[in-house]
Amino acid sequence: MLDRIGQGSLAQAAIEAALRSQAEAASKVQANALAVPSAGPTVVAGAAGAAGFDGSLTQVLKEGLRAANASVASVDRLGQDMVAGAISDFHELPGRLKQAELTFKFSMEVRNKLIEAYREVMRMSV
Amino acid sequence: MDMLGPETRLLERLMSAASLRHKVLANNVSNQNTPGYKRQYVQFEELLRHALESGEDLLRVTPHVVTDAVTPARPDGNNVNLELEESAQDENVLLFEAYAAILQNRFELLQASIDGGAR
Amino acid sequence: MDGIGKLFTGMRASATGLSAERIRIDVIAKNLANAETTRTPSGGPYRRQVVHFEPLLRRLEDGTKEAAGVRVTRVADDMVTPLERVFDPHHPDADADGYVTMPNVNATREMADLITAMRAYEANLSAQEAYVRMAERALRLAQ
Repeated sequence: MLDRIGQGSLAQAAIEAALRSQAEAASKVQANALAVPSAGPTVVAGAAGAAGFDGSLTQVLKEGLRAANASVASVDRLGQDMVAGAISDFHELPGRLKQAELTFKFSMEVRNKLIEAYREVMRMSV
Repeated sequence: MDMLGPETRLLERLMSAASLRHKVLANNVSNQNTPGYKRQYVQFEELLRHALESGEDLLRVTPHVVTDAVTPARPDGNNVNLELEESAQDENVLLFEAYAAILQNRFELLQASIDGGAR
Repeated sequence: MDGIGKLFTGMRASATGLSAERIRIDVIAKNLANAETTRTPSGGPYRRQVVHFEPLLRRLEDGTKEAAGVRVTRVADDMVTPLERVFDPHHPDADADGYVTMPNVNATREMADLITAMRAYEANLSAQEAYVRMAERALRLAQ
């Protein structure tokens, strides 16, 4: 699909602009994940915001696909992990499931935006 | 890509500590008639408070299982007071439910920020 | 227990408590039923029985021991409480002087022990149920 859009700078620029705005939304989601109200001072985090969305088309797509696949795989592993004794408490399950679910849904949102942007560009080219 | 954030990690650790506390209290209850048995309890929330006050990383605090050698024992050496254990258990269940409610709300907000914020 | 049993360690102590207290209740019932038994198959009057409890310890993978409830080590005759000699010359087991050696079972004491054991049984049951409630609440977070 990316090859069909071709090296044409207008199309490429339009797609990258759409993805840049998506990347901004992405960092807003990350910021929300950190800033969702808690009673006291925020917990010392580490590199929590390092999602790596710098707006480049290939990079975002690759990251999204990788994250989506990884999240499905991690849920598939859950039964195995339970049997192997890797899960000690029941409340670990929702944490793993939600992480996978949110990652997957987020990747789907990115993909949807990509398709939307592509359609916009195709409409403009006609 | 951590979608849940460090606050979620803290809540999970609070729930794990409450789960450990239930295990320890249940063990006290099962040994309420065992001669010589001394009750145990779990410290976590107090340790977190100290860490908060001294500015330490909350995610590095771990729960402690403490043996209570202070509470006086009966003639057979057992110091389990059933009424206190049951109260402590009720408190702990409520704590667990409170943490679960906060975590639930957090999940819902994260969900909404993906559905709503990305458009 | 390792593997999937790890999820249930919070409940296991309660199960051992239920089992141990149940044994105690059964022994108390047997004592009460035999409060007047002057002739046992092994000869002599019935001796009160007591249940001995010890903390149950579980060895973990790293070699340390973890508290995992209670266990009954043995059910043994109470050799401390003395048998009672009662004057009752018409009793079939009366000796030459007209005395009968009665079991060392005191009904009041047994009833007090029974109440303690039943209370303990209920407390273990309630702890077990609380664990299930907590687990269900945790699983609901996944919905």
